[in-house]
Amino acid sequence: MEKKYYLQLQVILPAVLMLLFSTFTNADSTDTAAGLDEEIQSLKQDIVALNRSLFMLEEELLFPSNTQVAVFLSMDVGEFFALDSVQLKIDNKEVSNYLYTRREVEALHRGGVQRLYMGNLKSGEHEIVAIFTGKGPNGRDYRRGAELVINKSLGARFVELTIIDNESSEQPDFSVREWE
Amino acid sequence: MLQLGCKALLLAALLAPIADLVARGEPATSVKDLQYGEMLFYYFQQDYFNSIVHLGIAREQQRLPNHADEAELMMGGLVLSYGMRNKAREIFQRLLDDEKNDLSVHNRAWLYLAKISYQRGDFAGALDAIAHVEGEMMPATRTATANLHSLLLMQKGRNAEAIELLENTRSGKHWTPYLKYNLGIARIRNGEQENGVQELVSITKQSSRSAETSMLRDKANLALGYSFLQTGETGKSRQALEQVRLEGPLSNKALLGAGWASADADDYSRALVPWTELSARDPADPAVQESLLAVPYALTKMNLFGRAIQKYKQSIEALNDEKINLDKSIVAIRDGQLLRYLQEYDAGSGDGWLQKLNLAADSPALRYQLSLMASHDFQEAVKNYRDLAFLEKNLTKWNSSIAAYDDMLASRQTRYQSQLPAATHVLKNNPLPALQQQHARLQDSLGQTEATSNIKGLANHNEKRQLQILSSIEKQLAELPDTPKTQELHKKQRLLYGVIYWQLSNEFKARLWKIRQQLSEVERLARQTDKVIGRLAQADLDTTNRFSGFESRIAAQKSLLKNLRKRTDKAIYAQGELLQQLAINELGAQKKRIDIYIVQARFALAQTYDSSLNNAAGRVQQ
Repeated sequence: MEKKYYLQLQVILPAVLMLLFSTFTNADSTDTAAGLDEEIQSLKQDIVALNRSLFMLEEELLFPSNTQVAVFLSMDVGEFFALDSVQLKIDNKEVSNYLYTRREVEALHRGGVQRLYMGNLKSGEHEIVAIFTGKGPNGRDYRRGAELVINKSLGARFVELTIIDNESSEQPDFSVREWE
Repeated sequence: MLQLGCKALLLAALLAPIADLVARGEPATSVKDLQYGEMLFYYFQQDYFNSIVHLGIAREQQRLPNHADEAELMMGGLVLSYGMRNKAREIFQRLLDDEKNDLSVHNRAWLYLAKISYQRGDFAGALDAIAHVEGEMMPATRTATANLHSLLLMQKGRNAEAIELLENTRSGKHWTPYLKYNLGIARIRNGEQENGVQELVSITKQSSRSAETSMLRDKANLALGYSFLQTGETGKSRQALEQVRLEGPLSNKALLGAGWASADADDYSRALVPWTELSARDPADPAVQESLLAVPYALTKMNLFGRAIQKYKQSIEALNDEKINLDKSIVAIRDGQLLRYLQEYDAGSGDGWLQKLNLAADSPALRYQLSLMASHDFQEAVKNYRDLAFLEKNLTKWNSSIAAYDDMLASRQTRYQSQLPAATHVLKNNPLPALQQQHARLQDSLGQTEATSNIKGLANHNEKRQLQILSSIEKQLAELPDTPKTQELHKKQRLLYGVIYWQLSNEFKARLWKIRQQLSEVERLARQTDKVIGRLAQADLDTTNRFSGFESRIAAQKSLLKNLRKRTDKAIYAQGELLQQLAINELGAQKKRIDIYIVQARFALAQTYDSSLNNAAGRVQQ
């Protein structure tokens, strides 16, 4: 009796195994998938190119290089400060108030630089003030500002806000500098 | 027989190496150009689409003077991560063709080319490419190369070579438990059971409680359990399998294996413990379906025929219910529910291969998502579908933005036209030369005043008027008779004249300095005005040219956008169809497998009835 039972199983098992081993694609769907994959790759390439052109067009149209000012944010280690938000003021007018996600902060920690603001400024002196909010050492609420006066002339100007660890004081430092 | 057949199958799957290494503890990247850092900001969020776009812009705007060398290699890696294998291959081939590139660039290009072939399933091509990676290399590149190379060798059954490679890489700082796991698997596959087991055991002893380590520990314990099962070491097998977390994603396989380990040792009573636990779980999992047959099988072995018959009947019912669920799922998928669900979910931010599916299984269309996602083809189809959904949103966003560009351009043109007459007037009748001449005359006059010490020359309008009046009074007094009263008036006139003169004389230097300051300020303003007029002249020309340039660029992009939206819509429809068909085919295959289980259970039920009767007859005869 036992032998008969196993014999029956032996008949059924190969079919089970075959089913389990087989992939669920047939030749037609494999061809369709391959053709579609090629088209999707080509679409991605074309849409990437379109985005590049449109971003550049937008920049030239909205922020001509004569008046363009871009403000970037970066971190140098940044272990003494858990960033929540940055408020940016230019000539005492708020131009950006950015709240950070965990992923964005992680990207900044790893060396990423965020373009926080892009706008237009006339020639002459302008005051840029950044107010950083977050948690400082020991999880305390922390709010600090940094400022810089830039002399806008012809040509695009780039300003970088940086959160730096001050190892000696074990406190965060905040700097603003202009890129040449 | 039943267990052994499936055991071998599962063993093959469980003794597979881990292909994706998890990046860990990488130091922050040093950024020397802001725009390179901007690209990294997207890259570190696995937003490959925007990384590619921003890297392209930075290169086109020539804003990467310090990262120009690595930008091309980075671009190749990004487009590969975003699934653009053809473009990636083109970039890496170009890097290889460029003899100026050094060995490290060539090595990385060959490594990426090998990855492309590996992803395509072209293992021979991948092996050929990776064989070109040579010489000294960065530790990360060396480890990545060794990992991929060993996977390819294992794929070809060349386990001994894979072991040698992994052994030689072991000391590097990028050596991870994943590589150790792969080394253990390669050893077991190569018949080096004892050494392989040692590698896997060392992974299970890791103390970290992180989700990543816990998962790897489960995987190692599972592989150990099935490996011991194959060698007939049932006690060790059960021990390893019992270490797998009961709530973890591998627990069903572990429970099934633990039952087999006991059954192989003829301890069916003990086998029933994990199998009974497993049979109460969601029957969508093949391991649970397997346990539905394994429980009554063990009961039969224990001669508990009555309970076995009852269990077989319950199992047949549960399997039939599962078939109904599969049918419902197929109907829901045909109805487009799966696609709607995928569309409703955030299409992500273009993060390509690493997009994570986090679907809740509360819909018939999603009930079998886990088993569907186990298939590479299905995963790829979902990724492509989600990438297309992201691209569609991206194009829709640009479509609304570009409509506003015309308005912006029109508004700029209007503003320009309104200011043009005044600007043209200034340019045509530039007042600056006349003002500059006047300034020069004033400079000369001041110089003379200083040289001749012409004190009255710096008198203001009021003082000049007072001096004139006093001079006139002096003349009138000279014509009057010389009387005491006249003398008194003369005295007063001289006194007043003297006071004014003294004041002028006293303030001469200060007034001179003040006027110089004022002239200097005028000179500064004149220079500034000169610059403004110069810029105005330049802006005049630029703006005229730029408007027509913008108009044609906007028109060209609009046409391109329209065309791409059509292509994307078509592709998303086709990809949706393909995705649905893949899912339906897989669910159909699962139905067939359940049918076989049902046939098997019915046959076993009949056998058990026979055994039960024979057993009863035997007892009666006794």
